[in-house]
Amino acid sequence: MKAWSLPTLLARCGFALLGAGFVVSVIVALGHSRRQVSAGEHVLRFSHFNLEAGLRETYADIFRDYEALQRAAGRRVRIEQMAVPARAYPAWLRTQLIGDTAPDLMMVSRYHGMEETLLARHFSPITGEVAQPNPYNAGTPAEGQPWRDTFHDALHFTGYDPLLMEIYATPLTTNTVRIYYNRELARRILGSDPTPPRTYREFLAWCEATRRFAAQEDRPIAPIAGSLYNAQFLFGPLFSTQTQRLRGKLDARGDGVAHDLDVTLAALRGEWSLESTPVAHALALTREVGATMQPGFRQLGRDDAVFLFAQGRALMIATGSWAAPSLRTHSDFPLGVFTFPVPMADDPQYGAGVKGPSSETENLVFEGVAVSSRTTERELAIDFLRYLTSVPVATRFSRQTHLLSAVKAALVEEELAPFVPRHEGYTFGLSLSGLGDNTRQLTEQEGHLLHGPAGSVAAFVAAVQPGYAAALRADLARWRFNSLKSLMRQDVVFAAQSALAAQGEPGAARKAAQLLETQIQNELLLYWTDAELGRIESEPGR
Amino acid sequence: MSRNLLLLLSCLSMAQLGHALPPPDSPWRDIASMRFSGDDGARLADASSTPGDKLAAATIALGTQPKTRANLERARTLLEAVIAPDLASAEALEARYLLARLRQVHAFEPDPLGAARDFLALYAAAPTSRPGQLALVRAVPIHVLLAVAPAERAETLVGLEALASTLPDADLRRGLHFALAETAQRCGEGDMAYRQYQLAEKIGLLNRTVQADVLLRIATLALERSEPDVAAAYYREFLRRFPTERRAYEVGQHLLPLGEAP
Repeated sequence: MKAWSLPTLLARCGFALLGAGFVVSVIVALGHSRRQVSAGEHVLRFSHFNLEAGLRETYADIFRDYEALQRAAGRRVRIEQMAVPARAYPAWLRTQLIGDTAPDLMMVSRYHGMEETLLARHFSPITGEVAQPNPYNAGTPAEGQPWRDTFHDALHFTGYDPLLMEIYATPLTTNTVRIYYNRELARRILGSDPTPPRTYREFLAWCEATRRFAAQEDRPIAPIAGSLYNAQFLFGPLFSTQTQRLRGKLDARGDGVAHDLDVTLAALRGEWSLESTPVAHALALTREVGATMQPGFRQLGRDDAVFLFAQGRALMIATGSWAAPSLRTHSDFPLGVFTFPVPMADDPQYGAGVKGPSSETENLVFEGVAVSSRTTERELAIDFLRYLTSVPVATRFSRQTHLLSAVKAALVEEELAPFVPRHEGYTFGLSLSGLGDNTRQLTEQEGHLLHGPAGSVAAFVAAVQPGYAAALRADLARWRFNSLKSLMRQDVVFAAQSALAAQGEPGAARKAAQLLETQIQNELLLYWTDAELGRIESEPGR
Repeated sequence: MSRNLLLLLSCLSMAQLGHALPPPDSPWRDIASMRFSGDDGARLADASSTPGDKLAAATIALGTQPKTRANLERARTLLEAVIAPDLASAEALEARYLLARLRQVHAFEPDPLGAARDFLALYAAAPTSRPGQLALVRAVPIHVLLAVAPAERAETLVGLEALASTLPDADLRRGLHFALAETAQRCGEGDMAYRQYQLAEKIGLLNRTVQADVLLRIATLALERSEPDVAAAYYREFLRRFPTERRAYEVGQHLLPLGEAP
């Protein structure tokens, strides 16, 4: 037998592996295509990116129960789960949507690339349905309530698209940010089992005690384990506390929330700047808290911060409720949890711009399960969503996944109690990058000047200021582009609903009138922006 | 006559009008749910098609992605073909409205000022038609904010306000009240904004977020006019209708200095 040389052997092995891969792919593809819908069977395909341990199994359990429920009612239903890794999900979903092969139900998220143009074209609003009670809540505290109101944020943030002015999604989980601390280390640093800080000053005292302890022990122990990822959870809310009153003054429409557009235009008009007192305080506060993290935290990622904390080299870490299961797994010490005590109006240094505590539901972002506009099973898909977000099923989902449910009346396990969001509170202050990515990139790019050891508020402002107006304008241009795109989409639907209304289609006139309201508001903002930009440009000295 | 009886009669008349429903194969159903392709548009645009089909085909051309100059040109040609035989027909008025809309938002180089002129001309030509009334609603923000000098905005708004009560279509009348209120508020015409928001609210705004926003805007405008009782009434109404809304806590705080418990 002829002996093969090593390169030949490797090449043949490579071809063999390639061939085996092809055969496996064909078998998988054929297997998938064979899962045809049999006569009388209703199939719902449900895609998500929750690959964390236990989630797929929980979904599967709930799907089987729903199928059994439907079977008992004489309907054959099958729900297929399509779990796709989070990193690949946005591209995968976009391909499915454009290729017209999208599942009936899809987990969508602003963090995973979901934007207005995709929503308008490929998803079916559920605004009408969520105004009605969820029948699966019969016999629960949420019985009779509009489905919408059974969620922590009444779907204002998680399900509602402000540009399209429609509700598209229902969330399954809700997330809050908390400070986790090493209770064992806290005992050593602070003595006994200390009560978590209730004020910003008490928090600073914890940090100071940690620094002293580290110096005594000659060990590198940071008050907070930081990374670029974790820091954002503190810096955003902290900044917001200082600018609450400023934002209130910029509320041009008098409805209690200054639109990011008005905030941006106000900056271009010179009504506030990076040197305004509230902004200067916000930057100083952010720098102060940044200094409680280990040096160089901006160069580190999430895993680095978790590692530092798990190694006992930091007393605290700021992260979301979603991280609780893994932090418990990775830490061999008891964990404590508390809400970060941001400065309040009575703080001697940072109280002036504060109105009061903010509602944590404002932290929530668009994320939930949405219905495809192409599904042939819309009614069934919405029924399943009602089931999935009913109080009993949401309680079960939370219990099995150890995640806080988005449904208010779902029972909360003791371990999740510290994560329940605070509903009451004032609206948020402004941020430096409320309208878009250009200002965000600019401020992040120069962040080292704020947080570096030799940095300062003045150095940061000096670096950001020259490019800030241009970045604001670029954000406005992007917002304008997206607004026009949405108007175009809405226009087509509006024309169709108007025509259907003229032909006597029930409900069409109302849908057209609703869209008209949406468009009036969006067009007003568009032309107001144009008028204001024109006026600003024509001012002497510009 | 009681409201319930009116509702019953309206339901009965709807049932009697069952024959007036759109045909099952109406292309507008697919367009309304964005289920169409360029092929659908081509089929509808066939030379033998009706003006209604041409309008549908033009709408598909406007909505087909990605947007292309060819599709926009196709839409324009179809709409002009609807207008050509009879400038005053119902379909021609729809087509004129859509042409102005194409100019305003769909064109690669949008021309809102030109569109506003087209809208106002359409309203002048057919003020009681639905496209004419709709054109007036569309024209308001563009005309007032972009076409008129800031010093003349107040006077222009007063002229437009006089037209609001004349619109026969209740949905479009509400739309005009709302458009006037929004525009007036931006122009610093608080009194007109206050009146127009209240008129729109009285007819009944449809989107919940808009409803909530408008209740608070009226309350704020009432406070500016030194009408704390009116403001308190709108704040209370907001809390009654939106008890879990994100602004509910703050609205409760606004009620305290007005002498009311949240």
